[in-house]
Amino acid sequence: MTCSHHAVPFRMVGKNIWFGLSLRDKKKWDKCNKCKSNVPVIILRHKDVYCKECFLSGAAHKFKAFIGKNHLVKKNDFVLVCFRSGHSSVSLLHMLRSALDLQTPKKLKLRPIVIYIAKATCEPQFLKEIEDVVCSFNFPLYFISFNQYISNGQELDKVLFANFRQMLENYPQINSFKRTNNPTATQTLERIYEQQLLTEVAKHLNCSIVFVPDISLNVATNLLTSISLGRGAYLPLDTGICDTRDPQITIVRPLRHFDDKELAFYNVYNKLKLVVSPNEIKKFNNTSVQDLIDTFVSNLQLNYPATITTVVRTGDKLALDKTVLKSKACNLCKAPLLNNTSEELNSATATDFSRWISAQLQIFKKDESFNEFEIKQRELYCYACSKIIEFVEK
Amino acid sequence: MPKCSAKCGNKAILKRPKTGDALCKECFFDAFETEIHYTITKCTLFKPNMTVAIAASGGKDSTVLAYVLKLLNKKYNYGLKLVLLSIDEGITGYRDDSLNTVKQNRDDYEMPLKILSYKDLYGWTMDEIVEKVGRKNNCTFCGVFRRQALDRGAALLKVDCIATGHNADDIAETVLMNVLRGDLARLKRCTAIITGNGSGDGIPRVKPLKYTFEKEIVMYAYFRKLLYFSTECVFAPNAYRGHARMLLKDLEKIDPTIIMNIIYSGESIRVSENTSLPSLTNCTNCGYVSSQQLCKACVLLEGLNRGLPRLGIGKSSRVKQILTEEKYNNLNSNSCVEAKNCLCKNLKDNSVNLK
Amino acid sequence: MNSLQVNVEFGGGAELLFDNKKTVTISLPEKKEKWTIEHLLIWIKDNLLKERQEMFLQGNSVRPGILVLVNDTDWELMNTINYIIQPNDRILFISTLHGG
Repeated sequence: MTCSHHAVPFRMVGKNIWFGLSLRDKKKWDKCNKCKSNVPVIILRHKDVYCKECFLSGAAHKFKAFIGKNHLVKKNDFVLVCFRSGHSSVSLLHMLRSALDLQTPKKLKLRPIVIYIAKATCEPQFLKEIEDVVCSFNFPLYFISFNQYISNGQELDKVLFANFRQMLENYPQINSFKRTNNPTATQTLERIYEQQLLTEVAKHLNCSIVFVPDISLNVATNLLTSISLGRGAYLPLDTGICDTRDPQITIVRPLRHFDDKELAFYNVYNKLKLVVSPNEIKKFNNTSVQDLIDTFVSNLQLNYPATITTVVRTGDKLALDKTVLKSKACNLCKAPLLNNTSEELNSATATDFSRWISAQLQIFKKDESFNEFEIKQRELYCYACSKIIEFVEK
Repeated sequence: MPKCSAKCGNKAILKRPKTGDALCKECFFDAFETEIHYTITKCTLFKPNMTVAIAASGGKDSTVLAYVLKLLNKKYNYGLKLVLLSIDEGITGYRDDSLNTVKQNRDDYEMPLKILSYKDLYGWTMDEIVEKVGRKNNCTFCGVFRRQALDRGAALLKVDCIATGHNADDIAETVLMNVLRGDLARLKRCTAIITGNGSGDGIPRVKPLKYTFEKEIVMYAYFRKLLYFSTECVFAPNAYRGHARMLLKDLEKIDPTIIMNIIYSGESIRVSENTSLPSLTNCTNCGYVSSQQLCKACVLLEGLNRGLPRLGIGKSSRVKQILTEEKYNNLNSNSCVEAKNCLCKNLKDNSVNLK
Repeated sequence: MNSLQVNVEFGGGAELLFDNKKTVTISLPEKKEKWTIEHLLIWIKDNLLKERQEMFLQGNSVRPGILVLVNDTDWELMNTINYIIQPNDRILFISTLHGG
């Protein structure tokens, strides 16, 4: 390995700062942090350097430790694994396969079943690539069309296929999911429906757990998005370690403490084949809350490299309010409904009051009392869902 | 021209950013003021015969707050005695003009005014502090000092409560900032409309404008022809808060009700019982409420006075270490032992193993 | 004529910007100063990158989100854009700007 030896000060590239290697840093970074003997090939979080072996074993260990520490899986449970195009799913499958194939007593004991959710018309070639990749890890694979599920949700047998050719025969044309004219509401609904789909398919296939390939950036983005939509009470469900809103199925994000660089390198060093699609490349048009926040977090991360991990860790420390544990569930997102007690004023009631006073000023002026203003109780939908329910056609 | 949605028969002349309703001027005033009245009554912010100090900076928030409190106090007989309290940080060009505005408020609203300066309270102006500390962490100093200054001023005036002009945008921004910085303790407290209520002899602070949009405050001030001073603090641009503000502004463009959503989220967040948060105690030097043995203001001041301007910036756990290292370095000079107000005396654990 | 042979590879979706090509062997013409990655990027911009340049480049470097490996090693350990390219080096550009 050759490198130039002159010092590189911080460089301004566009508006962002690239952390180039300074001469002083090079001395610290000439040996792997872990084994202290090999030459490092990767630097993570701008400060930790690892050789290839230590990096790969560290990643595998982090994955297994996460599953073990959180007591997520009981022996031989079936686990539904959501496959998406891009880096994270492939890493997830490889980590699963490696952990299952260990010859030691520490090997993972669970049975993954993979599912791919087709959200737009796919070329058969693209679906074949997915089939090849998943089968190379020796896992069973199912295909489902997103829009068909939403229309015929009750009858999973009609929309769930073990073979992509069958899916294409039955549904050659798959429309993109576009429920509404509001990009935020569309993406929010998409996420809610996807969650519902995974939960139902899991039950159908006898799984007790679902793994989704969200990485740290996704968790941080979802956390801030949930806050922006008024879902603060449900952060432990939306972005926590486990989503337990369904009594039978737990949704888990085992890659939540991995970042995009880690997984990209993991895949390169393991020579893994990815599946990519031109439709999935980030567009950065920021018209929805989700996209705006994704861009914001990615940019902030460049200048404040602890941003994503800090937000994810904050999310880890939150809990559900004890009073909601036995409530009815929101009809849309299935989170437990909060009681809107009339003793304390909260932002939801204040907003309702603003709407009321803007229309009913004359009524208020009659006796200047608030008696005519009724505090809304949330019986059907949670605060956030009640705002997008008008966008749902059915 | 659409009709006013409050059904008064008049033509609408503006669109409320908060709800999108088209209102005429008078109905906008009524709605704006009534919402604040609702907040005050529903949250029982005040009791009759209270003396309330309004934190006055001369900016739009405090000007509107003073105007509306005076109006509501009269209209609904709150029975309050209102005074203006203003802090002079000693920032040339910024504070001089805003203080003039506050004096104008005093005259226009006929309220007594008390001005306290950082120089009086701490012995340093912000200009002098920035010279020592630079422009990256100066906001930490200003924020901490201002908070204490308001409390000290309120105690001097013997008021029952302090009213600040924090608006919905401020609170939403603070929620975002605390999430980004992982400050769970502050995140838990920052949406509270009354703070400092239970902590012994702290004077409670209230935020009557908690649910009032900044845009509407500007509109209200404009249509009511209220005088205020509007410039950004000259030292402000480097604060981390600016990132949270930018995000909030971008979110507001997508949907203004997101501001209320964020506040609602902040109110609904619960921290897991397993997480340990710093508990509140009293500063061993000045008695002010603090999460550490020494309150932040005392630490920062000590840093300035000793020529350690970075003391108090960064981890609190390092403060003791730095002070003791410095004490060790000065052991041969008796300056430390003889100094009356040496903070080391107040550090409970004075015996440190110095290698 | 001593041209410099470089093996450039694209992955993670970056290949979609280059006609779906995953590997390209390039002969860089000889020039006075050494070829650095910064110069290579300019060459790529002029000769390979047809559209959506902003998805790959930013200023004099790659866009944040594009990772670079030189002979399987993180370029951040090798002076990033100032790395002087050696004959037959493998330079891999991986995009992380892909959903999923």
